[in-house]
Amino acid sequence: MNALLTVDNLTVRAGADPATRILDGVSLTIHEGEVLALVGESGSGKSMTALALIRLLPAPLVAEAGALTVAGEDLLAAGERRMNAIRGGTIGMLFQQPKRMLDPTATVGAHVAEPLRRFGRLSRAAARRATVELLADVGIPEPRRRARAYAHQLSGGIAQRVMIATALAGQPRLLIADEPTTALDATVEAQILRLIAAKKAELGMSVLFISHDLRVVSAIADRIAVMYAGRIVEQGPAAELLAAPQHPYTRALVECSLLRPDEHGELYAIPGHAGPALSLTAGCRFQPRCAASHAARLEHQCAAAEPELAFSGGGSADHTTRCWVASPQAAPSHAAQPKEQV
Amino acid sequence: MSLADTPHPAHPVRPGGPVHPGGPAPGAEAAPVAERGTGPRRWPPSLLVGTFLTGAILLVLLLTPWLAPHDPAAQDLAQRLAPPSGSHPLGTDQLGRDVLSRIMDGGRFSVSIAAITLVICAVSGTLIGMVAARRGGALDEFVMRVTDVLLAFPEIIVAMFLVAVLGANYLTLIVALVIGGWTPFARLARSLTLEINARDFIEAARALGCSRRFIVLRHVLPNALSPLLAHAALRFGHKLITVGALSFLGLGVQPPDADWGSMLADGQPYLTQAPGLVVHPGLAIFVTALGVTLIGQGIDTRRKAKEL
Repeated sequence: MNALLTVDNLTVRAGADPATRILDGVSLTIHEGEVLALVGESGSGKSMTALALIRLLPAPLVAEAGALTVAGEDLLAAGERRMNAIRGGTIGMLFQQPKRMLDPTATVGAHVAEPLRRFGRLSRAAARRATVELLADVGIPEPRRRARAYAHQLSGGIAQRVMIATALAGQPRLLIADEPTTALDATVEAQILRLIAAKKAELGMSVLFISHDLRVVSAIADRIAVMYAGRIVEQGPAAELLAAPQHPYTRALVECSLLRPDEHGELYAIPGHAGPALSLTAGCRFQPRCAASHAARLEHQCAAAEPELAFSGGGSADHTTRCWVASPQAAPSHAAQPKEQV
Repeated sequence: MSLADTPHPAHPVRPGGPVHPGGPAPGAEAAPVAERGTGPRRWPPSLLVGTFLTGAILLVLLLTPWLAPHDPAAQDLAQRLAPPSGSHPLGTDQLGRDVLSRIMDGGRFSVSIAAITLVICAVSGTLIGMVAARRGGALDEFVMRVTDVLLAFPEIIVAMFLVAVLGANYLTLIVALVIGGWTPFARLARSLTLEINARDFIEAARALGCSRRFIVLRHVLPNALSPLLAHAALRFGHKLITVGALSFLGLGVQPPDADWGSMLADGQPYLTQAPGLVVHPGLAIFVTALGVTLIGQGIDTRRKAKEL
């Protein structure tokens, strides 16, 4: 399998200040036809990663990366005109609130036809026919009538199908799906997940699936990367990572997703909350909330330096974890010096 | 806390890759799709009344050459300041000219000058406001300070100054009204653009690689159009009154042409003998401004109803 997307050491800062790292050293690889899920709490930097990939970060934020390539093309070197061809072309995008992503003054057909005309160089009439075909293809009933509808006339599920049709119109190699089912109810969620999986298989796309919900992710992902406070803390094959999570944060996420009451009838919640990116220390970012660090009496080590993403001894070789507790063999004296010492 | 060896019976996490490569199931979700707003949209009463009034006035003004009972310039000194009668439904003025014919003829000047300036103001103001909002930075700051300065002078003062310097003719009148008149449109277009720019579908359009020009023309402009139209209709009455006021002051339409404002001015000395000379052109201004303003309000009402 060839790598379709390579992200190496992606860092996003707010302005020139080197201390405000909203994303810090994110490295990802997505192979052809693979679904990589990016999981984490709100504010962990999942969506920021997606925006940085298509180079659409909001104004004060700047991204730096060692490498950023999609389908062999260097996105860091691409000009704005070329980037516009990549957005919607090589990289398709799905969003969380499909209805709010559709222009209220434009018809469904106009949304879908735009990339068709831009990339396929179709005439108006040909684009209209292709639009109806594409709408039918993503499972929208009465596509001819729907093409003339406006966003407010659609349900959330149909609106997301329209967004999928729009994203597929540019024949993308990589589909970035940013919480595409979060705003939908559970039955519709399953249908949309199935549709994305079917289209992925049919068109041989790769998918970067962003979600906070491990249950959703488990249904679609080949591999999972867990993010916490702008860092990838664990990465590995989906089944293995869910069955044997190594990082205390991943374990906590899995525990949360079980919705299993304890003996007092309380649901598990991770104590504390994710700190702001502005107040970063040299240590592990999860350490203030980490029970495992406390139990293993490693607080000093965990607070002093952050470990590298390394093989943690569990399962396959590409299952890596960024944790002192999970990989005790890599004690700081033997380990490579931590990269950042602020 | 090892979850690996304690799989809960109701474990909702299904480890394993994509489990459902099967096709989509459209039927289940098709049923609850609500169809709203597809029936004939009802026009609010203000829009109906306004459209009717404005339409009627425009029709009369267009057909004036055939409808007017008399030549508006024909004098009949024997019939000076005559009260309304069969042949002169609104009476005659101080030179014995038919008031109804003059109002119909004068309206053509008033309305067309107001409409021309309004279109120029609306188009240029919208363009300037949108460009300022999209570009931002120094350009935006500059445009906004210019509008501040222009707004500080009442439109009519700017017009009086220019007419005094350049002489009274139609071109000067239009230029003078445009100089003061584009600023409200620029401000409105700027704030609308800023608001629309922040909405999600603009981000979606950018993420799908739409060019800036496409986003402005196909997303920003259509969404800004109905408030801008409403504002334009509201401004029309204002323009009509300003043209009338300038003519009243002798700075607008020049004799032998007449418009509603200059008729008001001409009739003023005869207010006690023939109040109709002042009342009728005044009413014409009022009713026309009312009609177009009602359209503006109607568009606004309809837009707000649609947003709910």
